[in-house]
Amino acid sequence: MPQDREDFTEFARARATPLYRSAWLLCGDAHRAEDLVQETLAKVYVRWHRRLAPPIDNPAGYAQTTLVRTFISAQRRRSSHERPVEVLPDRGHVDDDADARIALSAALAELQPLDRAVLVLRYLDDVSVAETASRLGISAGAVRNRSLRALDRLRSVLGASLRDFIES
Amino acid sequence: MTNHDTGVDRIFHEATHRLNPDVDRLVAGGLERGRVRRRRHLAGTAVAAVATVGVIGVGAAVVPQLTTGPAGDLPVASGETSSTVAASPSVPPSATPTPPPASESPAPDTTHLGETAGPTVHAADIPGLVDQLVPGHDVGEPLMQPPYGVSDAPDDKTVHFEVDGMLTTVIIGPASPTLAYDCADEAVVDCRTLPDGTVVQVSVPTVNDGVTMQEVIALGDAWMVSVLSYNADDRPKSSEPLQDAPALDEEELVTLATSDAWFE
Repeated sequence: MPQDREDFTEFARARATPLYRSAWLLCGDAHRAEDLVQETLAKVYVRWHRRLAPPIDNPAGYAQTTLVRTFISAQRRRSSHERPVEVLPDRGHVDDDADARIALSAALAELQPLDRAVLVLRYLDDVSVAETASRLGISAGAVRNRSLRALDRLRSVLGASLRDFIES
Repeated sequence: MTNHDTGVDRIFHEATHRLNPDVDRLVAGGLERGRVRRRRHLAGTAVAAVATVGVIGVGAAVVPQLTTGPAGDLPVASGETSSTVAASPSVPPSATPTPPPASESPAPDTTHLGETAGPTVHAADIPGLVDQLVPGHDVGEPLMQPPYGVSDAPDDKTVHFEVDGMLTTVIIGPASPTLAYDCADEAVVDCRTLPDGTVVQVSVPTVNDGVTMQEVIALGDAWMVSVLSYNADDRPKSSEPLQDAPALDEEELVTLATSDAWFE
């Protein structure tokens, strides 16, 4: 295997799980999360192997940004070709955190895609306000406003559950 | 963190920390999609340029008999052409009748496309083999300058070169029906199934302002070979068609796509 491809495979293996966790919160189900991660890795692969382009400074950050942008872009196209279903798709295996995850996922689903992306970047990926703004192409103020609005919305949806999560 | 968001990060982390995906599947899928995207990017520049020319000149030179469907799934630069490639009435009907069905002529042995062993040819050697398989042309060296270049991975052989001064591309990779044409779309592709199950897909020449491209895909169980031929050089955006039809005719494209020379 060429060194370049070997390096990429090693990177992809290292980042697949964190990317998947972000994707799961963004998408709300396992299948779409897998699809989003694979699409993200494909885009990073192309950039990674682009001739005459400088190496990616921060591959992990680049992949995370690609993931979020791909998600937002896909959401903009969704309404034209996706149908809502009464039964949610498979959410993957159930574990001790499944209830919390499903509740959180349902609450996140109430948010606008961009708000969801702001929360995932800020609170799962621990990205600063300024960096979140840069990655999403919006102002820092917009990141703060969207965070506040989205958290308020989460609280109203989760209600006591959110307090339980925090206090547990 | 502020009072407003205290504990939110912990909720997010705890809700996801036991999500452990199938990393092998994610990486394999990402690699496969990435290779496809990269092949499209490399091989598609010319087609994209052709499509751009077509958009500009379609009203004057081409009756907009737009193709639909499979162009969007073409293995090479398909997405760029799906809505702009048009069949031109300026291309006269072929002087020769449609080749007889495969059963009336000796079928090529394409069993290699169903075998696990992959291509053995070095990508850089492909032009030389083309010269041997379809003699009588002036076959150039691999195009190395961006956006072209050679891919010589074990499961991805891609090379661009000129035949009689016109762009030609050969791509050998894992069989992927999603990358091939939809045989149901007979307006765009003529599919023939060989005795061993290999499907040979001969695309209808696509024309934009006189720049023509034709592709033949041999799609086996394990591997596929795609050969594209143009009637313009490697800078179709700025160059004129050099002749009416692509440098390699349909029979030659089939010969190349079904050849076992790449797997010997």
